[in-house]
Amino acid sequence: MKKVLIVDDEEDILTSVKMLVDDSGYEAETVNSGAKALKALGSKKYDLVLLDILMPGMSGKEVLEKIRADPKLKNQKVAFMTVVQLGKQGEDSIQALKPVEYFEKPVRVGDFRTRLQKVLG
Amino acid sequence: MWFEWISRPIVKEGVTYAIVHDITEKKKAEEELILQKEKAEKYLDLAGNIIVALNRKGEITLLNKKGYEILGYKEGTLIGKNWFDVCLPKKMVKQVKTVFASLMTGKGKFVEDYENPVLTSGGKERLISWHNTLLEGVPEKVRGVLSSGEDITEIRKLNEELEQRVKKRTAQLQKSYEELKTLDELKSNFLIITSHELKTPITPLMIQAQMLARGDLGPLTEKQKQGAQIIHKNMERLTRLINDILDVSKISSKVLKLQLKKKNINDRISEVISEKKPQADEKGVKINFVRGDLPEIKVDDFRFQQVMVNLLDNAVKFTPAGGKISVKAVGKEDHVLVSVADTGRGIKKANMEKLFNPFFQAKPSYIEKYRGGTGLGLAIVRGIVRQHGGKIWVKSIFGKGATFYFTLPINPPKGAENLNNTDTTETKEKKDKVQVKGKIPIKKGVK
Ligand SMILES: Nc1ncnc2c1ncn2[C@@H]1O[C@H](COP(=O)(O)OP(=O)(O)OP(=O)(O)O)[C@@H](O)[C@H]1O
Ligand SMILES: [Mg+2]
Repeated sequence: MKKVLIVDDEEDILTSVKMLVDDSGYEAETVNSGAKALKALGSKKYDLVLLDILMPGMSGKEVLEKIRADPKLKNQKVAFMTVVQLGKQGEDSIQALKPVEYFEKPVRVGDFRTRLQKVLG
Repeated sequence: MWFEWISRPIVKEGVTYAIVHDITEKKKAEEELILQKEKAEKYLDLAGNIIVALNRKGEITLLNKKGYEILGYKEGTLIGKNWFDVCLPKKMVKQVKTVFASLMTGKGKFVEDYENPVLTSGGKERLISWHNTLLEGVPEKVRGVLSSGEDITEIRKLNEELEQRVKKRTAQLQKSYEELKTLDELKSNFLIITSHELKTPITPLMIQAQMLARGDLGPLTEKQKQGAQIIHKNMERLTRLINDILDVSKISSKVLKLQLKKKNINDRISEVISEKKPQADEKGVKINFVRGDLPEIKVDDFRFQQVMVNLLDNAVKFTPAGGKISVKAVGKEDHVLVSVADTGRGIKKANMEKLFNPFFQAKPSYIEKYRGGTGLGLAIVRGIVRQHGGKIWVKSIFGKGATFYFTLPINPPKGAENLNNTDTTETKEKKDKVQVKGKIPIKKGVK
């Protein structure tokens, strides 16, 4: 089963998104900070990271920058999940980090599932 | 004629010899001198400044009318008095005397201009601005000093008051400026924080309500399902409202940002139309689209989509069953022109401008039911079009339908993207300082 790591500082979002991902037929794990995400990624392989951007301490953008700078992780699939309306594109500075998707919170369940499936294959 | 007589009787000869000098000239000169002196004194009296001369001992040898006036003594009474003992405040007599003494012996540095107070007969001090010259006989033997002094007590007081006032006013201005600055920061931070804080709790709410309603969390009874669906429907409504309010705030605080990319908008229009189709079908309204021969324009794809969604939303909403909506895109020299025409209720002339104001909704006529919405749609549409450097307007015959037109230039004006672009680069530092819930420092990000 494909593994998804969800990174968000809000417990209720973590729980709910995990329910959604699990229910879609994947195996979700959650961490509530960027630092913990990097630690988890260092010890285990994930097929996708769902990354919040605005978090205390390390922001999601910084986390992805670190991932892209790490030779072992640089090809890791990462999707952002954030509250800003940016459409499918996201910003240039975000795009440069090559996220595979860009989910806008609040997500619509149906749409989220379709896109998640597309990303994970 | 003036004569000077010197005579001596010579007894022996019984005569008296006399020598007579004609001194007319000398006398004249003397008179002239007195005249000149009186004239000079008059001039001195006319002067608006104190004029005082001191001899080597510091005794007053001359003091004009103004001097007596300021010092408060009867004219003539101070001649021969020691200037320092009589006319200076006690506390400084000793020091000034020492300086004066060293000056008179040719030592000490002579200061031409300074400010010093004098003591009046009434015991009051007045501030005088002095200008001094040394009276010199032979170079090393100074005869005294001649000074003119201006009473600057009032001016100084006025100046100080003025300075005080300026200082106070400057401080006030500085404060208002700081306040305005924080207000500006607050405004932009408010939007960032509000958007984060409103959408964060809605995210799990939406997921849970939707999963419940879909039966993803287990089978529900019909009633439970209905309840979950109502929760979900209203969460959607709340989400749309929050997004609209945030967009309108961004537009009115001029912090709406655009992500411009070159694009042919035909496809995007088609996409939005097919998304709206189910809604129109349900109402019995047809939509047709005439694709144009369009140049690529620099446009914010997401925001353009928002414009089309809102215009089509309205067209469907305000057009009754059997009606028709025609969308057209036309390429012009330096812009594209898009129109959305419907055969709906139309718009009264008086309302045509007001439509674009936030929260404006034309009162529904008695036949029509209240149709919901907040009146933010067109305000957002106009904000987005204008930010692209385009124009928007409406033509309508009331009762027969309405056509909304807007233009988008091929090249939006400089600054459309960056000038008001506070979500990206400009506010990144600002965002770093933003505190959410008072504890989360927002790091470089796009939220
Ligand atoms: N195609 C149209 N035909 C007739 N009236 C229209 C049309 N489009 C807009 N209006 C009038 O303009 C008003 C403002 O439109 P706008 O889109 O700003 O708000 P709304 O549709 O009422 O609410 P919202 O878009 O926020 O859900 C509408 O309430 C309606 O009275
Ligand atoms: Mg509307």
